[in-house]
Amino acid sequence: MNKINNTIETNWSSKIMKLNPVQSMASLKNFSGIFFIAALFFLAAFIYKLFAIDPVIKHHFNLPISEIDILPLFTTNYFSFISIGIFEIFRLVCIALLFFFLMKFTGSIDLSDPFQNLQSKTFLNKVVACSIGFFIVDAIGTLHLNYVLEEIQPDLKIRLFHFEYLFIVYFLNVFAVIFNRGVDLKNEIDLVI
Amino acid sequence: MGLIINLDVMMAKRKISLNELSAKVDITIANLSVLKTGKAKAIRFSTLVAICLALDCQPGDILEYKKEQ
Repeated sequence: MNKINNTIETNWSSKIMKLNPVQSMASLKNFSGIFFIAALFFLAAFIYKLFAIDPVIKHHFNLPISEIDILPLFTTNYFSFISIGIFEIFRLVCIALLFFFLMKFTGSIDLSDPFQNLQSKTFLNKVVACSIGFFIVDAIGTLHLNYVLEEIQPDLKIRLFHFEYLFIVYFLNVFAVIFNRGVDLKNEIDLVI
Repeated sequence: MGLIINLDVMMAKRKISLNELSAKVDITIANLSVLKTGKAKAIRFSTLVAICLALDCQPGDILEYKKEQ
């Protein structure tokens, strides 16, 4: 019995050890169509709720990322209500773009020769640009949200800078520099006759 | 870079085609073409020797340095 248990454990652990994170991430691109349609539905519902004129439709209006109910602003400060909503849409689009390019990047990497594909380099640069854009949009959006929140919920304060995003940006940037240098080196080596 | 590759000139002087040179030097036509068009980043001594042997010339006949303005 012990032997069987050991064999099962060994099989499972060997399978887990064999799992390749890049390959498993790359396989996600097969489901990207479903993700994309679901995200579109989510975004459409949010935009409809944001611009709906009848306040009865909005029993509560929680922001998708910040999860704060900004419905009281609908009657008191409509401009802030719309602007925060639009910022939240920008943030959603940035996250969607980031995820999209990350999937494209992982899908384009050839594990046997990762520095061969120039397309991967382009996608990685796009991922870095998107993450920097996301950090900036997020900081501006949160700054505005903090300012407006003083009207509706004075005790609630949101962290202005999400440094974890900055950390991801930094990590990706370092990776991009190494990867780009790798691609350039490979090209240079190919041009030595 | 200021370095000019005169491989095409020497090939014309010796009346040798790219295919023939490729077979003599044992380098692919694609790589020879890269070298001929000046896109190559570097050239190995062994390649240079093989080309000089095939074209019966000196390295200076193939490579020429011109000061950049």
